[in-house]
Amino acid sequence: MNDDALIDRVLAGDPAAQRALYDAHVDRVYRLAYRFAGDADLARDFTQDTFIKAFASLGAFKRQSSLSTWLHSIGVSVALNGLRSVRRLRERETTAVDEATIGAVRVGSEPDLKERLARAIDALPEGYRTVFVMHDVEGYTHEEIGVVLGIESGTSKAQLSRARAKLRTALADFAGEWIA
Amino acid sequence: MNDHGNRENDDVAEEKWTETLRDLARDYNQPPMIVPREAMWAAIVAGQRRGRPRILQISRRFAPLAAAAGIVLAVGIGIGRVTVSRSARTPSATNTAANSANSANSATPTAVPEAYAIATTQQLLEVQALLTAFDANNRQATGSAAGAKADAKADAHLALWARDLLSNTRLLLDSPAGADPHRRQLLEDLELVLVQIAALSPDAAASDRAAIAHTLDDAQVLPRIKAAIPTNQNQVGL
Repeated sequence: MNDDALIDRVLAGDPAAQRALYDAHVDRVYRLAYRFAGDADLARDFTQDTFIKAFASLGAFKRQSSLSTWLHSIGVSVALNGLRSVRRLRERETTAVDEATIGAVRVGSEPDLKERLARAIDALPEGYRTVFVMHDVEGYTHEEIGVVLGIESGTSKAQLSRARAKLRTALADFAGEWIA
Repeated sequence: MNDHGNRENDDVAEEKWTETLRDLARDYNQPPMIVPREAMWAAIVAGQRRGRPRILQISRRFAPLAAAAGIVLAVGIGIGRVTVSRSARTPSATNTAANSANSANSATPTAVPEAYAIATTQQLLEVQALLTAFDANNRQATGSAAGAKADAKADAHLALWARDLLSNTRLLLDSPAGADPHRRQLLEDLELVLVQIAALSPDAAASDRAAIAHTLDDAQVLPRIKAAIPTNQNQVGL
């Protein structure tokens, strides 16, 4: 069944169609939410909210883009908003924790390259990180990213390039090993 | 080596670096092989039945914040205890009547110790103030385009305020104050609304605020808070 027919059935109140739509898209939405969140509970929350919002506003979907792109736009927006809230809460939490404890956790053996990379990706500005995760990690094209994020594909390319440059700087001491 | 050769070498190195970066980044926040489809579907269906967006349960994950708020609540309960013991030593006519009523209630299994009743009433008054502020802000935002813009700062302030109150509400739910089924139901509804307000971002969509307003109306939260706050606050030693 094509997207249009599926949407029409969902709008007509067919619960089986709703489930079919969910089954067709949930894996990719969850996957992307997990890549952004790095946490199973948050990824679940984000995915659930994405589908609840999507079902609630499906009638307003103009069908100018694909259903998948539209769903991913909602998913990315839900995940980024959710992560902003988490970040604010974590910042408040951190101030309540003994600074000495933080130091003890951070000072340890030299982390391996993947850990360093993960930390560097986490530290990227939100726009760079979003594009980097979507393009280099999940394999979206710049055109897809542009539609999902509501930006030009050229902007997506520029942000990816800046993200890679920042990662290169952050991991400069490993760079020799990488390209050897 | 000439410039052309250098540039070629640089390009090769850049390509290699990009390739390696992409290879390594594939492990970044690697999703599990199994997607919890059924569990998420059940939550989605439940969220739709409630007729409102499912609430992110982010704040539940921040127990240390709740612990910090616990100190505040403990101080409140402590003040309540001091107030109770003082009022026990110097009984007024009102307190005597209230104590008689409390004594009668204390026979029931769900009677709440007075110190917790005081803390609960303080909490209800605070939540009432927050919800009134939210309501006013929401009306202003929906009233004019300028209001909608001015409201971003207010949303951020309300979100912070809600987070503080949320921690105390959860502590009360886990305390003897949560033993009474009616009070518990009210505290659980407050928790739901506070989570929604705490999750408001400064650029929150009008639909997010509308969902909160819907929850408030749907659960008749403000009238129930008013009904739960003793008319004469001396009844709880305030």
